[in-house]
Amino acid sequence: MAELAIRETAGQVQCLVKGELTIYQAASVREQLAALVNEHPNAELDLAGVTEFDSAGVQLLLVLKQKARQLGGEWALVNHAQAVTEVLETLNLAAQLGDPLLLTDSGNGGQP
Amino acid sequence: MNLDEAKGALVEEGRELLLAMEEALLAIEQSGPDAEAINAIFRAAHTIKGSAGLFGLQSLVDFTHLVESLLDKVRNNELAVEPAMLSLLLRCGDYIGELLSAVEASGEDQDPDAAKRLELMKELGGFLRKVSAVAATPPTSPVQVLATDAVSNECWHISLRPSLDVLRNGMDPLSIFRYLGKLGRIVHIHTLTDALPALDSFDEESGYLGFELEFASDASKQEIEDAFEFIREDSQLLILPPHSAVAAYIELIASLPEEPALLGELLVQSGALTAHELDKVLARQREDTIPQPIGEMLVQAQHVAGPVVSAALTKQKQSEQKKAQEQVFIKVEVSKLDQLINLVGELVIAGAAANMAMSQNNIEAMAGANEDVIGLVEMVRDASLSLRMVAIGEVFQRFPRVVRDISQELGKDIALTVTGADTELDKSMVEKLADPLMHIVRNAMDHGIEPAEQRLASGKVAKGSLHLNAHHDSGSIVIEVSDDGRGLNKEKILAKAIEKGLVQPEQSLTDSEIFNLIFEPGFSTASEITNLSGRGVGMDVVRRNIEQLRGVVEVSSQQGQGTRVQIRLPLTLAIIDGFQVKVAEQILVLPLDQVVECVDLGQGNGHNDLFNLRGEPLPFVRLRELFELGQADAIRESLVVLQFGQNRAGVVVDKLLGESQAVIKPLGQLFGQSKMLSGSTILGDGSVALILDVPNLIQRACSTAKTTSQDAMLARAAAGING
Repeated sequence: MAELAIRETAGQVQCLVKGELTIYQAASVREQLAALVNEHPNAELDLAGVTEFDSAGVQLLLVLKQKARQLGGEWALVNHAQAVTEVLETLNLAAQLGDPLLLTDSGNGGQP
Repeated sequence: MNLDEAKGALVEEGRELLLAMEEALLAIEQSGPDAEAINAIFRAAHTIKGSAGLFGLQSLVDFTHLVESLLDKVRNNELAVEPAMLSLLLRCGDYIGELLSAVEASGEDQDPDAAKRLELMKELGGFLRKVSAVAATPPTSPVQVLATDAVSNECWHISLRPSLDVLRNGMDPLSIFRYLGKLGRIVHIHTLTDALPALDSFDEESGYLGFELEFASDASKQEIEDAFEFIREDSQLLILPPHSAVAAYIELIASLPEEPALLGELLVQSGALTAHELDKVLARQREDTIPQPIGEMLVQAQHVAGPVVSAALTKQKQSEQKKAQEQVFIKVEVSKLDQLINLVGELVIAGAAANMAMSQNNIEAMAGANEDVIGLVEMVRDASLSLRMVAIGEVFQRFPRVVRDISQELGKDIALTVTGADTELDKSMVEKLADPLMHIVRNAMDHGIEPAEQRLASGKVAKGSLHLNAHHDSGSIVIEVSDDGRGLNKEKILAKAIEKGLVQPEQSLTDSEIFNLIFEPGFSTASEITNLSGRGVGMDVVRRNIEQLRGVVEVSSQQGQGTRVQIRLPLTLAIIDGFQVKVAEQILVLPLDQVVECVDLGQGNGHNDLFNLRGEPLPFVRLRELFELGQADAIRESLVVLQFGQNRAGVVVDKLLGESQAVIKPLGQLFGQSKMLSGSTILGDGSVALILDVPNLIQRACSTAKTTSQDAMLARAAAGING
């Protein structure tokens, strides 16, 4: 079962996704997220709590990001859980669905 | 001379030979076969073959050998020249050109276009078989050609487009990829997301993703296929073994649902294909009328996110760098160099004479020597700048072929005449002119020149004519493309412009203003879209390109008589002869080429920014007002009359200082917005003077004169000057 928690901090809307994000939850989650994207084209989707992830989840995120862009905003995906990262690596979709902050040339270019 | 350089020389020489071959072929087409022309073609093919043999470029050798065999038959009168053969040979020439480009890009001898090669070889073989049963060279069978035509990719290439129901049926492609990991290594995977619908029509249980994989494995094809067993039912699955034929990839691209251009990029990016395939895609893209790098096209269409395109773009950049490298060398006539060296010799002598006069403290001799030195410096300047100049014939020479091909495509009979091909302009411009000219020529052939029956009906000769001309005119070069076609329809253009909102219905426009509306973005009067033009792209791009070269493009037309497009470019030299003027302690420089005369403004002779010059009204601008340099305090102002193209206008200045040479320095970002300035220069005393942009000044003067004049007569007079 997937749970969504929406919170707003300093004008930045954040949505936390917890639980499974697969074909079994896609229908229910999609409705809530579609409503959210229409309301807030600029938001962050926190994927730290995702436990399971599959192609259906990939498609859902892609479509939501596309919608946000059409509305002139940007949905940023952050804090990818291990389950999500694995799938993105397998399908080579990091460029489209990766964390915008981690998409640098070297993964450890930061200060220690 | 290393091997790469030698190969570069081979490519260079090959291209020149191909040009000669093309010219000879076109000559035969025009005026029947003659032994000399046929010999020239044979020589070209033979020489290319010989040079390619030296480097062991087998595929080039094989192909040119076939062409040569055919020509040999023609030379020995065993075969008669026929139109089909001529156009086959022209296409062969194009293909050899592609082969040469491939050699140039990588030094390798890879096939840029397997399908085309096959087709050409078949046709060549057809002609050769006509000669006798004992053909000198039996055409190679297609199978062999393909076998030598394998790609270098050592991976299996798998294209998977699962059916929509794949997820619904409980199968996730992800699990198959995980399983493939046990059979071998997935070297690269690309997930295609462009089949995804919009959120509102998105069905979360359907599978919209497509996949392209490079898979390194020792497994058999059967084993790999078995991995996809559960979803193979109604999915599209294509598996190409390592080292498949290029043609197989071409087929693959053709059978997949996505854009060929996109797939080409992906295949290169994933390492499935070499860059040559991409080159082909890029070539295809260049034929497209929308001049937009493919990568951008894809990103805009949101097919591919930024980073994904980078590999392909790098490739594109490399070929651009290649182009830039070609600019390292330039061909110069020996006589020009000799002249320059002679002048430098004279300069050395004159310098010695000046030194002598200095040491003797002989003022008179010094003045004389100084004059000599200055005169020689000017001559050296001109001579060295002329080294960079090339004849525009370099651009013009490609048009006979273009006109031939397009007129065949359109089924029109069009003759091309070229004059002024030896007019010189700066080397850097020659390359940038090619594309805009091509657009204009295509447009003229497509829309300008009518089909033969229409021409006959309106009392013209059936053969349409197109004329390319170039000449120098007061410091600019003018290039004209004229046709004797149907001309531009004023009413139609105006109606269209009003419909598109480019002009207001109540605006009154001069004829030339109406004609020049065709350069507005998105404007196209063609009622039927052909594959050459008429998509409303082109002419606006032409204008943008010309303006980037600091030039102007104008069109004039006579209904039923024809159209003439005129491009006027500055000779953009780094040094100009300038004319210095002073305005409120500021020294400004005008290019001397564009200064016609200077007159005294006198009192009360300039009303409404119009000056009465020997009975003719002349619009002018006061530089003091233009640059906000404050009010003049009772001085005699002078008027400098400037001319650019057909237009004249005056500028009012405080003082005339006279001629001087000006070395043009670009202006920084700070002045980037100012249209009235074109550069700056350093004066003899070390101070900086600004160089004025005459075309813009004239335009400004004419437009303010038009708007401020209350009197309709004056407006007409000003319009007369504009026209």
